[in-house]
Amino acid sequence: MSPQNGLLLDVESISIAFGGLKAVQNFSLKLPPGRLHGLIGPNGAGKTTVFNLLTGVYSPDTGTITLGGRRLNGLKPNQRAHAGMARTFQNIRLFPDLSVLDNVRIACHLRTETTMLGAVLRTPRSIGEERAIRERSMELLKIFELDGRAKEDARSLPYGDQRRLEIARALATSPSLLLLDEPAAGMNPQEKNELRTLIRNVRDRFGLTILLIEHDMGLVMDICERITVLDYGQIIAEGPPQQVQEDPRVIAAYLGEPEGAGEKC
Amino acid sequence: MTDSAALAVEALAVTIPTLVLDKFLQTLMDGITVGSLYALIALGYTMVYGILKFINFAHSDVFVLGAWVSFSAAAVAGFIDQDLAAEGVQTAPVAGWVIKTLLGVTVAAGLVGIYEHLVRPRLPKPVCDYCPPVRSAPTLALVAVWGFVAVGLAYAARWVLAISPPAEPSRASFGTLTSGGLILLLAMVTCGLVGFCVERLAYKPLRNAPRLNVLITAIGVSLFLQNLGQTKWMFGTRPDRMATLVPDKTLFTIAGGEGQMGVPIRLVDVLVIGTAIVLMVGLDRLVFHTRIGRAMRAVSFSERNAALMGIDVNKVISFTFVLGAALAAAAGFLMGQKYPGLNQTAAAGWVLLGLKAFVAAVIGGIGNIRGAMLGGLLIGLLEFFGTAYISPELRDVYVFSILILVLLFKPSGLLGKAVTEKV
Amino acid sequence: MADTRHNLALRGRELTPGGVHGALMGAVRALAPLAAAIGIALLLHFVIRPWVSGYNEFWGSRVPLDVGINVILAVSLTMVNGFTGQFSLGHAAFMAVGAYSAAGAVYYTSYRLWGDAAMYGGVLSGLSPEGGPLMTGADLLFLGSVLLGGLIAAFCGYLVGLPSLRLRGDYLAIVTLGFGEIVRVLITSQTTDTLYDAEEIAQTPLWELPRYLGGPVGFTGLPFYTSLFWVWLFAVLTLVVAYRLKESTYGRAFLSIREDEIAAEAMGIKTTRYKVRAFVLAAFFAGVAGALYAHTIGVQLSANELGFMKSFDIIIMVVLGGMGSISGAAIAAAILSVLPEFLRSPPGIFSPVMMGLVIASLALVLLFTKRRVRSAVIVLASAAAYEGVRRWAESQGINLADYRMILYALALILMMILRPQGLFGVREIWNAWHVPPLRPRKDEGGKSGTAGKAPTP
Repeated sequence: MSPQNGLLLDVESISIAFGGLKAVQNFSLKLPPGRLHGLIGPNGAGKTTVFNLLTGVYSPDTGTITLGGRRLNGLKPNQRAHAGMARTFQNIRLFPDLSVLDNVRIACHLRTETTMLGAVLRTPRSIGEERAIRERSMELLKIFELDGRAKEDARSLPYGDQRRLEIARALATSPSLLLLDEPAAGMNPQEKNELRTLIRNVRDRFGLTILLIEHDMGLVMDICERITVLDYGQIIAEGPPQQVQEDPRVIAAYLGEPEGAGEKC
Repeated sequence: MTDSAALAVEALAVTIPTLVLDKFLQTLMDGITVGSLYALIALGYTMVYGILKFINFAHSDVFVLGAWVSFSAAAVAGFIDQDLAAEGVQTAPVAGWVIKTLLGVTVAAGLVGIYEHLVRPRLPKPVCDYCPPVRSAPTLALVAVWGFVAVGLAYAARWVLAISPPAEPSRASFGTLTSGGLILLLAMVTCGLVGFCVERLAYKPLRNAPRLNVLITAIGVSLFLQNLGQTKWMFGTRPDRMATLVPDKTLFTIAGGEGQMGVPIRLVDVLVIGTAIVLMVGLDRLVFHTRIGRAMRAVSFSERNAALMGIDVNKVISFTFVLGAALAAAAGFLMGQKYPGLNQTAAAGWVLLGLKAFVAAVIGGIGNIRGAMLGGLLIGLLEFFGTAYISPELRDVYVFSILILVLLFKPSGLLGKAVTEKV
Repeated sequence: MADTRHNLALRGRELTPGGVHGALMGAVRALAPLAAAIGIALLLHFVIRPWVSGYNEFWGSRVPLDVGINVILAVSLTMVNGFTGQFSLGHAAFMAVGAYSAAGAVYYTSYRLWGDAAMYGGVLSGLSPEGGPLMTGADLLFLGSVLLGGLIAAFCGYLVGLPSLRLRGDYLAIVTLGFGEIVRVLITSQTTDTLYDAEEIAQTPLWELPRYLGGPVGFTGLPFYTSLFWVWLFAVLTLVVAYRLKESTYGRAFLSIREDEIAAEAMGIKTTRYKVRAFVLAAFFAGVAGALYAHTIGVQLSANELGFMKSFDIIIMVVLGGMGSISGAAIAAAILSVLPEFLRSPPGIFSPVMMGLVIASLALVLLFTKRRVRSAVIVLASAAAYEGVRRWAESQGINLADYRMILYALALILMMILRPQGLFGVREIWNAWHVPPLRPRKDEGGKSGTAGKAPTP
């Protein structure tokens, strides 16, 4: 799975229409490995729809999506996870009745090789993999400082911890591309600061490429290397943060002032 | 016309009559009749699925209830089955326990109303905390009034029949037809009430619960209704025979070819199909051309947005349930007219019927009203043609085979649209 | 911790217990379930049954057998409804398929081999007297047929599940309901009766035999091979397989499908494939249960008995126990197996059985609930209500057992409204309920005192 032409993610002109509504039109994105890329735009611009197109929840009417040289068109979401694409959700979708540890362990499943029969018979290999899963999951929880709450139900975590757990879970799938959908939503300024550091560290430590949807301009301008701006399903600007900030079309779309505008209510 | 065309037409004119035409027409008649009944029941399934997105398993039991309630009402009204008349069976009053229960509900409504509006505001502060508000008085009163209306209809039917009896036992008169109409209305009103109560008591508390829970509750309600109908206070475990409100008249006969009997077009079939069509047209107009219908459609698209637009979602949901139940009751009544033998309420035959109606709703596109009508018709035709021309033993298998096929190739049904879930 | 290229499978291999010791332990683990099953089954068959039968034949022989079969059914349905959260309404249909397949196999093979379908079983089947052979060839035939019944049921599960599990949850319910009816119709619509003549059977070709399964009357003349041993052998195996599955990475994957299918798919779980697997596995065990049921003494195998009512019986066991809880399903199966008998002649509230029950409930409630006084009051009120209803029914001459289905239906509705998680929810009996503190800690409101614990009832 070596990236062709240096790109990890190559999205070429995807669009989708729901009935008469053209949700996304002509969206393209080229991400080299290691890039931290932001996707912003006013509410309803189609950002989550782009995520859904990338992860396979929706099938694009036109265009191609290539990850690490492999065409993803037609693949179901679980196949794309195998290919190395992981995501978090705008409205947190944890497994609420299961423990924090189990949430992460489940995401390790796709990388295991034990068969169901092996699991039932408890073959040595299945035991080994089970140990590896637990080890890996606790490692990840430790990085996110959730290891103390490993046995708690996911639903009983405070909101900020739930968001972090979602990221930890996504990482457990050993992705090469991580899609974060509004990871800072509902966080207070201190948590956002921690998140900034966390995202950068995670990118460096795991060798990830990250695509980030976010409304908090401060965070986006700070950590993203390049930003794509979406409005009514179309790209209206793309470039480094400074350039995008000063682009009059972007400002017209929703930034009230050149400097980072207010946070999401 | 060219020579060859003329020859072709002449050939057809000769062959068609020899294709057992009367069997075809008879099967067609039966298929359409029963199909329209399936359609009426399917409408209830589809409407409830449209607004609440869940399958109301208890719906077919409302249909069964409708048939049996009509039976009891007919007995109250004074329609006497020919065989029973020989035994000298008198008309029956409305069951005592029904009236007692309704009175009880009225009293409860009164008490709750008094508690809520007169007693509670006057309680001293510490006691007040332990006394929760109970706002059910209006609903209880509504239920009581509704029940009494149904009882009243039964007696009205009896009165109408008494003042205009048929000249002979098996002939129609103004009295029998009006009385029959009142009984139909009664069945619809009663089952509407049942639907209302079921929705309020069993489904409303689970409005926000996971779908699996609601499905299980629906199964529970279904079994409850089935087995309740079997108890001795209700209809018992003996199968019974519906009194024929409609004389067994043949309106006219479509003649077949030589040596064949011809197809009788019976009054019963015409009335059944006619009533069903009237009801379906009425529903269509209601849903697509009135305010309440618009509200129903709005809620089916998005409950939250409909509420934001000022629609009282609870009322719309209740109304939908009542409507579906009323249609099912009508189907029950009509079914009783066409096939007077009624099995006990928990018999497997009813379950199967309800299931087929549900399949009809699915095939037409669940959530789509016109789809339900189309689906019902198709299932009816399929079942009867399959039974007549392929094998009578497998009559239930055809319907389910079609279900599997539809689910495999077009799960959203014939007229349905695939719905993508928003992530 | 350089995590850039973490390879889970590789790490798994590194952590695999290796060498001779590892392999040996592996073999032990693989064989332990069977050994345990045989051990427990032997215990029940040779020790428990004679001992209890000394006091009460019914409770010694009949009840454990019924409970065992219901345990297999309930635990297998838990795999579908509980683990993957799919709603199957036709579980009894797979039981019927297994029952008829096995019955046909045993009956006609027996005829072909020995000229009749008499009971040639050994001691383990309870058919030979003491000192006779433990297991005979007939027992092997029986065992093989039970497994065959399970396999055929599993195959049907695959045919039914594959198209329907691709769709929304409600559709599976309808399809399984329809399938149940089709099975019933196909069997009862047979016009031919079972064959009784050895000559005739020997001459009928193999593929014709499935037509002679008794039709609407039922399959009569089956030998009674089923014994406590066989039933509990399979029951323990079912329990172990279910438990091991649940506590493995596959079990977690199943549960994730139930919790949030979209998220599970996003995390790489092959949702449709796993739903089908759970469904097929459940069908297998249901088939086994059916096969065992068919050969139980006193049972007249008839497709009408294995229709929707039976499916509902199993569903209520699973729901009562808590969907996803194996121990819950097993316990609920036990309770509901004896409930009809209980309803037929309910003991008074002051009898030892009922007093014991009330005291035990009070103890449990005082220990495990948070609002202790309220819960205790509820228990006592229920006891009073029970006694009241019992006396009223007695005075009216009403046999409560007749109203069993209504009571079940009401119980189901109330449970869904008041306590949808049943007894144990998705957990097992040993980690479902925790003792809450006697006095609630004055933490931040809302989640005080429960942050580190499982949810208390």
